[in-house]
Amino acid sequence: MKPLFRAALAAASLLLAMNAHATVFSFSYTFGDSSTITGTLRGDAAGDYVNNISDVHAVFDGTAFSGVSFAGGYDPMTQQWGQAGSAVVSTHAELNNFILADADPNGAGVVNNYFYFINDPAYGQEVFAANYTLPAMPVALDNPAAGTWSLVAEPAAGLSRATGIALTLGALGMLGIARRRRA
Amino acid sequence: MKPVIQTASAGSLRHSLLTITILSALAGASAPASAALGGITIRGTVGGTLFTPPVTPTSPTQSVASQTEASTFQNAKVCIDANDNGVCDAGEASALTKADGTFLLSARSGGPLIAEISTASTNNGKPVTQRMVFRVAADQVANATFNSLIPANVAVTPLSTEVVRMMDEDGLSFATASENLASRLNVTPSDLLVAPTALPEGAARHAVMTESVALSNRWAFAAKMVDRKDVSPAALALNPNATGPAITMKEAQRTAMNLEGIPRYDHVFVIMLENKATSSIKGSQYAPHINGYLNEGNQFTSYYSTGNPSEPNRLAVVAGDDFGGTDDSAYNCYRTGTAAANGIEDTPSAGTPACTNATNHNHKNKPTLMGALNAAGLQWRIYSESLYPGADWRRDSIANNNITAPDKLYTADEPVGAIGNPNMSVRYAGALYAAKHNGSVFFQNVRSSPEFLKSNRTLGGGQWDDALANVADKPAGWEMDQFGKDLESGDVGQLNILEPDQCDDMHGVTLVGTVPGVAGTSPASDCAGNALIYRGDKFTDYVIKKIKASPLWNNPNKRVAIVMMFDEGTATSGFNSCCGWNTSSTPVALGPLTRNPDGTVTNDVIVNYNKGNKGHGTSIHGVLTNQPRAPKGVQDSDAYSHISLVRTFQDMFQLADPADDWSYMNRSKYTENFIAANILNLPEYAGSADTHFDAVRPMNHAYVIPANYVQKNGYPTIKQVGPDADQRNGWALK
Repeated sequence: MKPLFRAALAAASLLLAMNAHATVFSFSYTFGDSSTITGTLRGDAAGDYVNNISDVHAVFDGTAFSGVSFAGGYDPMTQQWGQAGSAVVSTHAELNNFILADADPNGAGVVNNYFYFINDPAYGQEVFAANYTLPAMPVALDNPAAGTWSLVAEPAAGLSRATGIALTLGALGMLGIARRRRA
Repeated sequence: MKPVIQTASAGSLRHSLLTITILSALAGASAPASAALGGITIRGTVGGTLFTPPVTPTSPTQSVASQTEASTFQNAKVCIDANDNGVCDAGEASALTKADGTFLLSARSGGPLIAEISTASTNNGKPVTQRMVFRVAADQVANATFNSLIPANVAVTPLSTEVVRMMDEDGLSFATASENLASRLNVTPSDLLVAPTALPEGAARHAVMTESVALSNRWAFAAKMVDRKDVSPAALALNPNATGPAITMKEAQRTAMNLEGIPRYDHVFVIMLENKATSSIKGSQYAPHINGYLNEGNQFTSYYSTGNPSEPNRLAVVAGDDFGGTDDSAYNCYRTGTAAANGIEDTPSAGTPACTNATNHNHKNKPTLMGALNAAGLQWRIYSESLYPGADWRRDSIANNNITAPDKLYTADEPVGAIGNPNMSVRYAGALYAAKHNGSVFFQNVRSSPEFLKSNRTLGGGQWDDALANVADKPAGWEMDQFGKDLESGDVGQLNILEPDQCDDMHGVTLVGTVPGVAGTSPASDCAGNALIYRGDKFTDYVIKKIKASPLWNNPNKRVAIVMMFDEGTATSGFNSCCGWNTSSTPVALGPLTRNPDGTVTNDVIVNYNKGNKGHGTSIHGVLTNQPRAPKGVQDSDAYSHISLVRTFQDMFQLADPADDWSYMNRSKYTENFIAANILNLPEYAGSADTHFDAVRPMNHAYVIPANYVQKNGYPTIKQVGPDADQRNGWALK
């Protein structure tokens, strides 16, 4: 096998592997007062959980968060936010303990948009979203029992459908080029 | 809540993920959230109590007890009071409470909170008739914030408002103010600052709700002062004639705790003694304890009774008027036994006369301190000594020769010398408990109230207590000294009148005993003469020591006072009262002025009214408080009467509005300004020789007696001459 062909095959395999494990999920929470927060995130499905959260986008009551750069967990023991990557996101509302924010709560930035979902045995269950960038500073607070949580994998698992298709086609294209050169 | 989808479970992964999460969080715990926030959010509840006053018609069958329920306020405007002025100003972030009384409020920055509860708001769904403003200290919000991104959960309540007022009043920190208030109510600080709806049933909830009712009244009154633009007290302090600026909400909430210079007390105990002029007690060797307490506390040296004999004075002490009463026939309204009778007034009782209202004893539809206190969610008690167990509070106790007690013995080193017979058994005399000394029995709306039986209680320490405790027909649960138990439990009233029996109160009854081997009966040692004074003096000492030993007194966060007073002096002729008294028989005084709903003014016509309120001279009147910062040694020589005392209590317990004399009951509304404004309807004051002396004022020592003043009326041996050496207020807390 020619090196170029091997490289193209490896790239295609990687993309296919990514397609198998890194999934795009849509999430939404509808508060008891009808406020909604929706969005997508990328992660690895693992049972009831989604790990390795990245590429988060969120829209709160029709306005997109200014950018979600932080996805961390919530520690019921300390009642503080964890580090990036510690988010516990689950299809089961009662398992969630995460915050999605436009800045690290433990960092030096400014948190203007955030959405948290916590299950604290001592404090209780709570869902909260805020967008402090808007003049009206909309916020919504809920007990999850009053709202609806949804976390669903996109039908074409992996990256966003368009991106996945593009990458796959790209990899296949590389294979075609290699074959043509071989021929 | 159900998840929309479920993927394959992975318990081990869950565990490992949680472990990782916890480890990560623990690692982060050493570096708590430090990011700046583009805004803050506060959530909470505006809560308090919904108080329904008692219904006290003339029939107990129609009476309904008061009710207090924990409540939340709907459609209340909550804001971050950025400029801390007690008002939700334009530009201050605000939110309205929802149907469950909760709110969610976001803002650029934090600060103290206020809740404006308007007449557009509701309280547990019921209309709010007088707006109020509740407040929350910024530190309370901060204390409720355990994670800056999680909205603080704050209850905006009457008690959170009181904490802020205490911080303003005394410069206290939030922590100290809340601890002090919690201590006053015997609750934990954490119970103190939650909405009553969030508290479980129990003593803490009861205490918080009771205080919530009292404070709600104060805050409603504060808002009323603001709304009508009362003049700022700060401005008035500089210039009593100032017309502005208007009072602020913060000033009003402080003022609402100190009406007419009379601060709010939690509990006042009035020890009511009998029939001794000032000259009989002041400096008397037979009253060493009372004189000691007078010197220890504060004295009102020109205090006048309002009538003679006892009953008119008891009426005046609880209602600010004796309504023309001139005798001791109790309420003279023993039972008629009619089929339509009610249990309080008309239960048949053989051998007692029918009710005759014309004799000024059974008073209907008259305002009283008892009724006003209950209507405000407060409590009164009358503790009486030596009542036969289970007997009717409306009737004198009946002599019983089978109930005996040892004669009281005194040693040679006591003022009365060695008296008393160790072999004598003293008989339980008639009228040791005297209905004429119980101010609650004269008013049909008080007797008909559900509070009547609840609030009449026993006072221990009596000579026959041991014997009475063992009578065969004692009702189950009857306590000979409910007062002692209430002092321990705290279940006393705001106003507590202590009525010793007719020996311990220095009145005197015929008290005899038997001695083995001696025919007939012999007088007991100490229910007459100087020994009677000494006996009353010792009983006063016993009661005061008992109060001073109580948890109530020893909690400085509870404001407790003791009043030592006599119902009347001994000026048996002439006009010898002051301060709302009846200065003349002619022209005829018709009755206390009342304002009708349509604004017109009428005299409440009472037969023989012109015969009452004539006075009976002066007697000692001392006040002790448990407040460490309260003035001591005050000698206030301004003229006061029982009617002044009733006005003082109305101020103390916020039962009236100082800006509206009409809101004060009966003759306690008769201030100098009121008399001048209504002189055409008050013929008895026409041509008054001394308008200050004749008028009512609270016992606040605010009046500075002019240097050239010469008293024209009143008891001839007590004459006010010039200003007092100092003008400190004998009721002040600090």
